[in-house]
Amino acid sequence: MSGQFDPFLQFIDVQKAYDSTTMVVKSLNLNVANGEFLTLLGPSGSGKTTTLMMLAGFEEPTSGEIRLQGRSMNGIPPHKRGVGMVFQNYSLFPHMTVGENLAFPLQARGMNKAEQTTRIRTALDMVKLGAFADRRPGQLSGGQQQRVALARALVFEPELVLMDEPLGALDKQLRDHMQLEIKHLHDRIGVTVVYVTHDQTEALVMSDRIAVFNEGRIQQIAPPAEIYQNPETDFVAQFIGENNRIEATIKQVSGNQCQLVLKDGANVLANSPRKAEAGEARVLSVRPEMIVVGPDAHELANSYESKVREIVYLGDHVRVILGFGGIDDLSIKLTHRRAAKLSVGDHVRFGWKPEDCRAL
Amino acid sequence: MVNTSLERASNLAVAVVSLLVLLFLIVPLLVAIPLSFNLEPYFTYPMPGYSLRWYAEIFGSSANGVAWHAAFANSLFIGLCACAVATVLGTMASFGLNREDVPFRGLVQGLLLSPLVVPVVVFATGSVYFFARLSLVGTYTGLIIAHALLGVPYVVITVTAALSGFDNNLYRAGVSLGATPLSVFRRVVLPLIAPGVASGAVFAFVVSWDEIIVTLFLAYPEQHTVPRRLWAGVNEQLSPVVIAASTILFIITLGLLFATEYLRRRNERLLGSA
Repeated sequence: MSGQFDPFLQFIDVQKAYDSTTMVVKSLNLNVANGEFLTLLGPSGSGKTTTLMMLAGFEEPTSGEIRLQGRSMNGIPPHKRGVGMVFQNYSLFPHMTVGENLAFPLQARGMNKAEQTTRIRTALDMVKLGAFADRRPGQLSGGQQQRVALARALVFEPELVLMDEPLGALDKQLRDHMQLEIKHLHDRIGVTVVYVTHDQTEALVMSDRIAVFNEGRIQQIAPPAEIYQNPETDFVAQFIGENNRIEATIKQVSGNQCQLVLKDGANVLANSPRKAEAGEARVLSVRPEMIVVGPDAHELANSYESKVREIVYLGDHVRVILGFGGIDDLSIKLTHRRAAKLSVGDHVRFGWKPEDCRAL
Repeated sequence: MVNTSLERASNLAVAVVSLLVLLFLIVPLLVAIPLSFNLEPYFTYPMPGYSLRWYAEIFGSSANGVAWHAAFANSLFIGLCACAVATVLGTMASFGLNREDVPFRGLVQGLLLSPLVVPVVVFATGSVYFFARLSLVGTYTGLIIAHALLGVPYVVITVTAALSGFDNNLYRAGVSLGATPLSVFRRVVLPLIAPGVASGAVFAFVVSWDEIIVTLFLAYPEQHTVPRRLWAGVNEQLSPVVIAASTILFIITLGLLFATEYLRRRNERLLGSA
């Protein structure tokens, strides 16, 4: 994984424990390239926020080292790191105007008034809030406040910006909009971003790479498409996107493809991301949208028949649920047109390609 | 809904009891204050006539008046100094104790608040012995330190309350933007907890302003404060001057409390609805 990127930011064997029994972050090794947008994705308590806090300097690693541009960050207090940060609840100073909020980091750097004014104007224009310099944060909407927070974290031109669930407090529509706005901002100014979220959509939309955290470890780190299409662990498959999980046992192996037997005796061909051995217990992962229904399914290497148990209408698509392979809730995502021919109780043929199914 | 009459009766009872408690608290004041306007040097109703002569005596330039002036000046000086010391130390202590990783946090907090629960006489006795070794008995420094210690708990309580409503991410945001912790405290934390600090300061001042026990123990015979003069007045030459002085003391205290409340509301309004 390393070598492929410049070591702009490195985590070397970083560990963090708050007490002697629980390790919050376990031997973290991670390289981030200059200009990269890296998302730390995981459920709460997975160690992603702690990782960010260590990067910001609010927490010290118990062991290991964080290097930024080759310089060790151990023991360097937050205000000397020169790292911008955006918080979930905006954290704008409520007693200062928007302009004063943006001036704060510039004053801390002893910048002269004229230069401050230019920088503040540029930063506010960048987030399309040029006319708001004299407002107080309390007079702005949540989305506007978050844009001010972004501008404030960028106005002193840090090389690295950290974002801690910055869109968590916004409603869904605004969140979707802000995701693209942050992405475009990043594309335009090329700053390195480390972004923490538990929202997989956010991660998929914005990131160059996603690091999926669970129980203090990175489960997989890869570009969004790779994470979604080729999850390496059961946790990643389950955490990102919808997933059908079927327990299986390996019967035969040929290369990275293997044949597995399900609890109801059905045989399935699937890819395995790691070395497989016959007799091993695995969990099959199939995305609902990868399952084909109808006569076309006959020609697929994995082709089966079952009875429709339930049809769920979801607006932009329809979910068909049927029993298969020892589970009774195999979920299939279909367009309205395809689902129109189906009704509950029908026997349908369905199937998927071996490469759309992974034995994890 | 079944026992509405019972509920109504109990509500009434609560109201009556509350009213009685309030009356009990306020009646002594209501009785005493008018007496300071009494024409005659007696403490009985009905009053034969009204006059401002007792106030004139305090504000006037008679020997007695000059002594009162000195007492007010002393009280003000000691009060302001004690208030300043208590506010600075109390605010810093509260800010430090606001962090969760402070060792012995509860113990330290308890010690800081202990002047509230330790009987003042005990505190005063201890102060005399301790301060005697430092040659602080009978000095302004000694009185100011003792009064400041009595005021610290009030500052700690109000500032801690203010900090509990303070979003610590604002502090983090401040340092992440490159400002030193001290400058973040001065420019971000302090303005936002200012109402708490101000009311703590007022309490600290008022504690010193009407403090008598420690003053009796520590002060020089000539070192008069207003409460000490009142005490002497009650013991020696009981006259409505004492009540007039008490009324002035009371009005100043009341004014301070109103002022902080006004500042608090103004601050709330300025920060607007987030």
